[in-house]
Amino acid sequence: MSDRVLINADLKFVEGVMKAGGEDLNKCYQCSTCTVVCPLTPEGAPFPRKEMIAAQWGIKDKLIKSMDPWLCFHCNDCSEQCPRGAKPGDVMAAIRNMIIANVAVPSFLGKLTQSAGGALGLLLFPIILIAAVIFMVNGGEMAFLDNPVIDFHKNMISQLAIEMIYIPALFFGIITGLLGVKNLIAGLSETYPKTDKGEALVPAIIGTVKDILSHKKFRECGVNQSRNIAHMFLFYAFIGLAITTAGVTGIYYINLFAGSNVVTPTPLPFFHPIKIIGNVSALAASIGILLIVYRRLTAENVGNTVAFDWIFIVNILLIVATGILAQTVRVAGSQASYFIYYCHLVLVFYLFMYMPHSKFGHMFYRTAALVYSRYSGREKSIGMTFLEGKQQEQLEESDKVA
Amino acid sequence: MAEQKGKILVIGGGISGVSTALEAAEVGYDVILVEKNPSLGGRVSRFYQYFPKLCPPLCGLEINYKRLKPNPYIQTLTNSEVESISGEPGKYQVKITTNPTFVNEKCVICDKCTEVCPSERESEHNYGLDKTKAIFIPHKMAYPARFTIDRDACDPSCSKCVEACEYDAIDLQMQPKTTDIEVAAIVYATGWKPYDANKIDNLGFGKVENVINNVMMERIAHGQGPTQGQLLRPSDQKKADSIAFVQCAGSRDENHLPYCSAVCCLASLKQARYARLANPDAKIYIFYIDIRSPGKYEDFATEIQKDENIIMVKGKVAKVTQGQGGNVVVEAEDILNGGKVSLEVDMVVLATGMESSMKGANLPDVVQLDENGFVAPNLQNHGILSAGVAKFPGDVNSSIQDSTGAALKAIQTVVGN
Repeated sequence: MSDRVLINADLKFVEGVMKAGGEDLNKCYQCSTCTVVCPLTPEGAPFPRKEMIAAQWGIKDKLIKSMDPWLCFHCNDCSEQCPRGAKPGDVMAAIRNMIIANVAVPSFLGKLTQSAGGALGLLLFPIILIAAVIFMVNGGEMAFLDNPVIDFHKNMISQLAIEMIYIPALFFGIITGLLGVKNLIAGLSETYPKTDKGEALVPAIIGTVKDILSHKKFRECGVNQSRNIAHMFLFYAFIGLAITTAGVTGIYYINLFAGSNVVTPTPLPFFHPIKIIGNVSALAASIGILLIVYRRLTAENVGNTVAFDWIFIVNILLIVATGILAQTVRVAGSQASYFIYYCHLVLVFYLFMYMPHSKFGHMFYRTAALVYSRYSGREKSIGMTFLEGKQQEQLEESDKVA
Repeated sequence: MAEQKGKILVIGGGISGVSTALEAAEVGYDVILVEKNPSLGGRVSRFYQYFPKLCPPLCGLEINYKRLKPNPYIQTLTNSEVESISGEPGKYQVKITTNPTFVNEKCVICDKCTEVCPSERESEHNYGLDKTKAIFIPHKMAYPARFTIDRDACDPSCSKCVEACEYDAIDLQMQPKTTDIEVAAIVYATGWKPYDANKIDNLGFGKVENVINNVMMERIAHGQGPTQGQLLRPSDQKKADSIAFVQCAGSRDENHLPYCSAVCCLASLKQARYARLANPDAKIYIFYIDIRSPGKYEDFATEIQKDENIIMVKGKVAKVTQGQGGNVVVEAEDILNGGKVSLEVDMVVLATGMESSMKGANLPDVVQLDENGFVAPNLQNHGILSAGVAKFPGDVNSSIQDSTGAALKAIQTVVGN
């Protein structure tokens, strides 16, 4: 490494990290207690000490192309032992938020989702869209409210109309998510060229999926280890709900194309396997999200929870609540269930459409980063320091100019 | 000389208190010097060498005692504590209790008593690294040069020392004595205690063998210490061939001492030199956040670091565990080389900081402490002064300068009232 390095300080980025949850960033004095106590860091070029100084100095370019924020699972062993209260765990989380804001496609969505105001603005879209569709399919009349038999799909909004809205939203979410992943990997591969210590792509993917399914890294955490339970509930609930949704949709189309009910039509009986998966998942999601909310509000070592986190948490909480309520109120025979179901639809739309721009995006980005980490060999301690590379060239150029 | 209007009370007989007392008394002011322990000298009397000159502190202390002993203006009360203070500047009523040492001034330190004494106690002078008899002299340069009996360590029915003493110097019936005095000014020179390293969970002190603190290292290096100056580790008296120094152990840490004690970096560099001289094969590792060697001490720090067997590692040790056969494993990030390191050494020295002796003490209302337990200026009661580390953490040099200033302020209070 050369003796002289030119730092391109991006002070806006420093401010951004502090606003995104790393408010105590500037208390860090680089003792590296955090790095030593971190249960997840590789031995070579370990984190989070170097991220702390890079964030303090505003080395944005390096940070948003860094793998290490994604290798951090916010255990908070570092924050607990930090002698200065600089909370490296929160800073790493804030850097992740900043990365999402930077790699997200289109980029304005990645920025709007960071604040409560922005999120409410984005929520207006499904509020209006779904209301408009309900108006249209009902010919501008709300006559279904007078029908004593409550059936959301037969009366308020048809399955087809829902799919016309949700499939594009989901595709939008997935495609922008993949484009975001492309941006992320482009940055990562610049910082971490593939080395011969890396795995091949397929084993890297399989290894990562195995780790995610077992929550392996989560469970290596020290102080904040128990949050892996809440996450696991929610994680498997989402898988269950995805299976349920795919199943129900599948049944609908099979019967539609067959022209008759070749398989059990919806609504499914209570003991139908798909129904069981759906209900168990709903229960797991409720437990998971309630645990998360409870711990975020009461536990000492969970770290800072910023708007970006709360928007996602509240979104899921409300989806679960409105989902359960809509069904209960419908069975109770109240017309209010239509409104609750409408809210449910709006919230689910938000979750789908802004999937890669909200905190839900970690599903894309963390997974991709973890795969790339194995692929490039970062896991085996191949690292980088922040001060190498490009800046040297720029320094030489600035010398020439001088 | 101005008319004598009142006395100066100096609390604490360490280097700061002795300096304050001498400065005031040598210009003719009456001083009462109160020391809690049986001997003057305080922490400094336990040091092996001063930085940066690497000379023995006992030398300077001896000069001070030589000045103190014949001075008619100083009354020294050892084994004594201030019980209460009331009043106002120029007129403080002070109650002092002198605890019995059970040995009077007839003692000639002939050592006959220790030969017969059957009981032992941990030596606080050596920070518990070895033992003394229940009748003991704090150290060879103790002032006053006199034995003391730790009655808590004695068998109450035993009187072997009394029988052995040829000078009628031992009086087991000696009682505590209370003295009421009036003084014009009071100087707190109460100094410091090493921060309790047991409180630093991750650094292993008290749990992992051969993890000591820096004041213990002074005693190990000292020719009159528990190892007679040989570099032997406590658990098995094996020669220490590798030592890791852990800087900022509990310092600059909001969970422990939030401030920098200003001396530990230089103390560790000094102790690295002790170790290298005591054992030319020794390898020394100093793990630091940043080396604080202000002013002229920079030269000292640079000089010590020229030794290629003193290896400086930038990165604080955050984990200490037991290794093989009494060895100790320290973990840190080697920041300049960008990797985690785990190093097995023979012995670890925690560079713990200075905690105010007054922290947590039961103090008279007239004394105010700052948030860290150091004596704060009291504008309402300007006759209460402080000197040396009682005021802020610092080295001996700055403490002595501060003591001279405190003596002058005390004189101003005496004259001004």
